[in-house]
Amino acid sequence: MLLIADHLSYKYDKLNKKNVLDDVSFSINKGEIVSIIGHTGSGKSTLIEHFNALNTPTEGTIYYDGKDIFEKDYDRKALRAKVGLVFQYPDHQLFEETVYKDVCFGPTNLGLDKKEVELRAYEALKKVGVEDDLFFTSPFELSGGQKKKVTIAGVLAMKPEVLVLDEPTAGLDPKWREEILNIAKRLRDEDGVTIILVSHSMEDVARYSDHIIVMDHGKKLLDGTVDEVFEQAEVLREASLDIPESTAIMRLLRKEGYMVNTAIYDADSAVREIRQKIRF
Amino acid sequence: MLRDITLGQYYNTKSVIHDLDPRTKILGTMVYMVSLFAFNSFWTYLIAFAALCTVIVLSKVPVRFMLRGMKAIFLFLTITVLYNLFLTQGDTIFSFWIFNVTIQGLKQAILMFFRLTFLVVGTSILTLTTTPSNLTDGLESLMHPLKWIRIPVAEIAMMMSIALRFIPVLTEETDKIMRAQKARGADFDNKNLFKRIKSYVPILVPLFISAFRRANDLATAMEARAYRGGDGRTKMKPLKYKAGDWIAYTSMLLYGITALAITVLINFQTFMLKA
Amino acid sequence: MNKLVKTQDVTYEYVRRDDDGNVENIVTAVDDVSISIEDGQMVAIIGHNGSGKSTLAKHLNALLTPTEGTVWVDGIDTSDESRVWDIRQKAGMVLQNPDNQIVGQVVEEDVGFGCENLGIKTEEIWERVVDALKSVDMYEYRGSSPNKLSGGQKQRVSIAGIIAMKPKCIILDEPTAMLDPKGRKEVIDAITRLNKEENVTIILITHNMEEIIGVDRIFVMDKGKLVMEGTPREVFSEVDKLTELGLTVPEATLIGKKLYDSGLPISLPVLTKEELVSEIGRARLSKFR
Repeated sequence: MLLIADHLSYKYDKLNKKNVLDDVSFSINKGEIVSIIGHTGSGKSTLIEHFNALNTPTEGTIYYDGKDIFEKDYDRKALRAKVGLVFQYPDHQLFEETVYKDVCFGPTNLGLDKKEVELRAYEALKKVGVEDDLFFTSPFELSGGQKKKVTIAGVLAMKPEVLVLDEPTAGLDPKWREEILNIAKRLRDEDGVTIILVSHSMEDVARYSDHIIVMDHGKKLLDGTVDEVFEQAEVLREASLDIPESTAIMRLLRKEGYMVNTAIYDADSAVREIRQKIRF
Repeated sequence: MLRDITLGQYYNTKSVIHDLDPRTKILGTMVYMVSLFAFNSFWTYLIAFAALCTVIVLSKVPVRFMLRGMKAIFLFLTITVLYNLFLTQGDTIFSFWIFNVTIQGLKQAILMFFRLTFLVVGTSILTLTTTPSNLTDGLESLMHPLKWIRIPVAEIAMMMSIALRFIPVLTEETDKIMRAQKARGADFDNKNLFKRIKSYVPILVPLFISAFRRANDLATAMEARAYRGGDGRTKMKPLKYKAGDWIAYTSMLLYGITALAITVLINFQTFMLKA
Repeated sequence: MNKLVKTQDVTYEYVRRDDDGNVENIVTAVDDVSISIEDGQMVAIIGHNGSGKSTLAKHLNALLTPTEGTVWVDGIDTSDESRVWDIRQKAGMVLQNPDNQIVGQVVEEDVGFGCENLGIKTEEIWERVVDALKSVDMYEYRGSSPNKLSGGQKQRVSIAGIIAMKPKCIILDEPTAMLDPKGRKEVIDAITRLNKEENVTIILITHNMEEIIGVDRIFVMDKGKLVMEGTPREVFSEVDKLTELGLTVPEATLIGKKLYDSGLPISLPVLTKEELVSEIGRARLSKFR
């Protein structure tokens, strides 16, 4: 187990009685794509900021690679290179004059020599598929999707073992959503990077993850495989969450008496299932 | 953490002081400030203290909130008091090493201590009992005569109000940007001052860009809602004096007269004694 | 029914300059677009990022005026500068980012902001603010600070601020793009109710297809041009064309189309889950016969 949250609780301040995170425990395996879902205010953003020790829990702790990251002598600066966190809005981190320089920021902070920094920046930009002719343009002139790619490269250049993406597809159109999510998948498949995805889109979550953690009001509500989680449509609805549209359609067919499998998450599988199981 | 800072320290409760018109409170605070500088005898300060206590009790704001403001000026207060205590010329009471404490110095130090304390507590009552938007309305109304010398009072007030609205938004944003850069290994605790300043560039650039974008959006939104400057605008919450305000003005007047009378009396006494 | 908003051959160009002020290129953001929207309708303008839909929207309340062509709002030509404020009162606008359009420090003060600008008397402002807040179900938050609200709530406050100006139509420029599913639903429910109950014309700009199944008319933009127009049923019949334009269709529509392509007698387009299920049922029966 790569990352273990052990009875994690968090409050903004001592006076405030409300727990932002309330006794959350789970574990994440190396090489998994894990999705964390929940509506705004469910505590998911606060949770992921514990993974690289940007937040310190009020109670409980996190073990990374078997070590307690909130132990006094733990090297939390080194941890931030191992657990890379990409925030939701690219505009919150792009600041350099050129795309290339911006991607160099992370590895430079690690104290690497210039040659290594530049090599890593180049590799990272290539990995996410930023075209060479954009390297020396200003990051502020890019489209939303390209900006997102550059911010991911900015974190990748630190060579993280875990990549946490906070709502990476928010505000992007379908073509870009697909592209960004494929980058994440490729990183896992080719380089074995563990991916933690925070998302609102149930379709994306169902299509890309191995494992889903559902948060509600600071508590862990569900934790399991895609099939296990989306089977609990009623529990999800109580937490103001939906199931993928295709799954909803299959459930409706089943309610009407058709013996179809409801663990279906995209249009193509839905069509296949309908053609197989329903006799026309 | 940055998000814990709340600017505009309004304390939400119901009291006669909260109910007063902001203009009354602003003018009252000004009268009080002037009185502290104009009259500085023991007796007038006693009255000033009594007045302050009365207002504090009426405002229903816990005293610890008032004293919070003192923390900010603690250093300044200490320096001022020590400066007056040790460096005032006059009749020596006692001296040690290079310091020389005089009777005049002691008096001056005590006076300064109370003057500053009263000032800070007095003004914090204003901000604790008046919402920021009410305060801007009050200032706008009081500054209204400045329009005649072509100062765009309404627009300035609108700017202040928008600034107050966006301070929490931008504070939270700064916090987020800081986290985003920390996640990329940025270090903001550098001991070297030059390096420390440099380390803030990755925060300031995104913050400014975002602020400009917000300003641009806001301008569009305001224009779309038919904003065209202060002329011809009506007020949703026009300021109106109520009975309480007239009582407050009368009390202010009484306070002023009493303080003035005491000062005159004391001066007259000293004059007579000399004669 | 009369035409509330009408554009005739509208073209909007802007000039891009480099650092030295030389003209780099001329961008045609809106290219010869003619649309008309009837009073009381709820319409949607869709298209991917950069299709010109937002630029077109800014023409509908005189935030921009066309380089060529004419826009009329309730019969007023938007290029008539003396009538700009009348147009802004008749056609209100809600923007994408919920944080950047709230002016007031308290919810009720923000809702009253537009009315203050119109010079309406104090008592009437209060009546309008109370009604507007109730119409978007935000009355209980009237005394809150906008900073304490969720995204969906902030957008509803912005909508109330427009409603209080008693407009004939509201233009919403991607009002749900930054919201979570719950916030999205709140906003869409609120505007649908305003359209149905108060007969306010709604012009919704979006790229979320699930939101527009119930509208009266859809306009599809691409590269500044109007490329499709019709009822949701007409527009969603052309799944291939929409996909080509980089747009998705509702999942039920897509599955319906794929089933049809696989040889089932499904009548296209299918818009909702329920429709799809009953179409599948019908297809089974028709095969039996």
